[in-house]
Amino acid sequence: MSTSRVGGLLRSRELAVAVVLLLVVALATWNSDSFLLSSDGWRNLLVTPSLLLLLAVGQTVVIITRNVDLSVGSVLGLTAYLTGRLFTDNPGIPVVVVFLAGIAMGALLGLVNGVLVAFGKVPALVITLGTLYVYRGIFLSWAGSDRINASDMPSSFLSLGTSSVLGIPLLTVLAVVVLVVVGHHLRTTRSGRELYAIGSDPDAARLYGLPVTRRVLTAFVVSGALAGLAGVVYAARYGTVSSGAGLSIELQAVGAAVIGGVAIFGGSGTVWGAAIGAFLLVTINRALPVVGISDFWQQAVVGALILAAIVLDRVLARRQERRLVAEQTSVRLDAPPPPGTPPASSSSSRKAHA
Amino acid sequence: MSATLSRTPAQAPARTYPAYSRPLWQRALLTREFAIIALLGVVWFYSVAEVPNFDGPLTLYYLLLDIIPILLIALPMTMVIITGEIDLSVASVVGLSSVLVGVLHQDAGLSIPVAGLVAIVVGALCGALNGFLVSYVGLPSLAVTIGTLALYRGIAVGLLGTTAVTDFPEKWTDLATLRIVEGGSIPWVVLPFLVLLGLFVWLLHFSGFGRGVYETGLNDEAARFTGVDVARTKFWLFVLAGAVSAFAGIYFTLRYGSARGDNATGLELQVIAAVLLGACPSSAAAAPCTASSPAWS
Repeated sequence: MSTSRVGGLLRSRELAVAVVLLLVVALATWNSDSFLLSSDGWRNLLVTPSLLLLLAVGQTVVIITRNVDLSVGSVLGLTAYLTGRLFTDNPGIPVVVVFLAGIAMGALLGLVNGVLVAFGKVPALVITLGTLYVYRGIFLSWAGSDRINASDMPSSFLSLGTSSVLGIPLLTVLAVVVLVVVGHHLRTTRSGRELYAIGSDPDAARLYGLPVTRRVLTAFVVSGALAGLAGVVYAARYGTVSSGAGLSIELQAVGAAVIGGVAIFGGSGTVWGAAIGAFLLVTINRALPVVGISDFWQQAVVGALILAAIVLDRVLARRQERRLVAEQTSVRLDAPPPPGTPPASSSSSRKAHA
Repeated sequence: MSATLSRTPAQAPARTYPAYSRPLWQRALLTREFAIIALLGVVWFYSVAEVPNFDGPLTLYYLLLDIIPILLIALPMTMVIITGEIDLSVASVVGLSSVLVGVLHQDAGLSIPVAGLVAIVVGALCGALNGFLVSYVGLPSLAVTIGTLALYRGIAVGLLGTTAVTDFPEKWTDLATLRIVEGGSIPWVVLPFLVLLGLFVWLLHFSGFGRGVYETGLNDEAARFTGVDVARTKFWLFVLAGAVSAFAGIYFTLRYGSARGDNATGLELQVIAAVLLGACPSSAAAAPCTASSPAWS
């Protein structure tokens, strides 16, 4: 039991991606100490992926149910702008209220997605592609050419983006707390496991009596709420919000999940994997110039990485499948022949082993 | 089996075809295409009423110039989506082909037609990589083309950085914006689009290949049993998407007179939106798809 668990861990996708991540960090640090060892480098290493991590966690929850949420970038932009406007329009508003408002706004936008997907019987790709434009359009018409600057927001809020606890940036702590809560929920609770069941086979899940509609709705609300939280974090981290906030980050979120081993057709994958995938994507972007590759080539490397990840996934899955089939066959052949079977079958078993 | 055979035709329940039992005008009006065209008409008339000079000849001219890349790429994308796959990498192929035309023209000194030809071949190869990974390795196209979206765009940006190639011969940049009638509102490039539209309509609706495309989308297992080479069908659709995107990339370059790595960023979502809006709810892939052309304006 325990050896199989160790074996499973060694074969797991999460570990493979984590090893690649460590290699990238090690290589970059070898080339330039300040990548990891300076206080700024350490901080950047942890803070920069936090934003994408939040989105990747939400995306994973949705993808596990065999859906996808492409609207997260627009939700992020909208709530980031909302955050700025709350501060400019209501001076002295408590930071907690702003966080709650951002999350609530995101959840509401996610609920719209969820309702359209769950009741409209239209593929999530189509729905969220539509709301990507709708939300971005609302954002643009609301913000216009307006732009939130750091001076518009109180320093107590902006310091959230820079302060740290025990050397770990506060925003990273926040992201990791979210990660642990969602990860634990998916792994242990009934409603979490049901998400996997729904993604593996929606029709079977419905026949079995699982509350498919409600679970899918919840998944979208979670994804929206996390994108809303990411929007508030974006405002705290960068201090400025323009109409380009969160543009095309949705593909990075999906990419992080895919690299982390979340199957795009639902039913398998973990938020841990997606989180490591998000870290890897962001860290590679920062590491390339350090190891002497022009940062113009960043995207190409990221793309090659995504392709490598899914090809690797396929190869491993196929090998596993073959191993299981082989095991099953040998078990069947080794079993004593049922009474009345001619001895020929046992000779064929010997042949199969030879 | 024998029971079915012995039954006389008279005993068989008369099959009705709900779609064809309605009168012709209903069949013509209650279609998705008609709804989209009507919507387009409403938007058009509203704009003419509210926006100054919207009905001027220049508006239509620039509108057509701007939507040509979307119209072009929507053709193969429609077929890709009908088979239940998706290609998110098309805009990156546009960017890559744009950069290739620029670099080959400026640094290698190739003439525009030769550079363009190379770009189309490279675009087809990009599509072939997508197609190979999707059809023969069996990977989900959403994941594959998110990867190649970044890869192809990354190569384009890597080749040129933030610089742009802008010294194209005027002969060719003028060709991209040439009008059919001097001072008229229809650009010349509408003609190659119409030719391609005709080819794709024939391919999708009047050829065995197109039947295979629909069958694949409805049920690829069943399609395989009826003799459709599903993998090869999908492979060639991705190749087509790559080649057409590269052609759109050449147009894009000449139209704006500038080859840049970030040309046409985000165009893939517009193309997909146009296709989905106009024709193909991607689950029920049986809708006729010629209407993807008027969907975007």
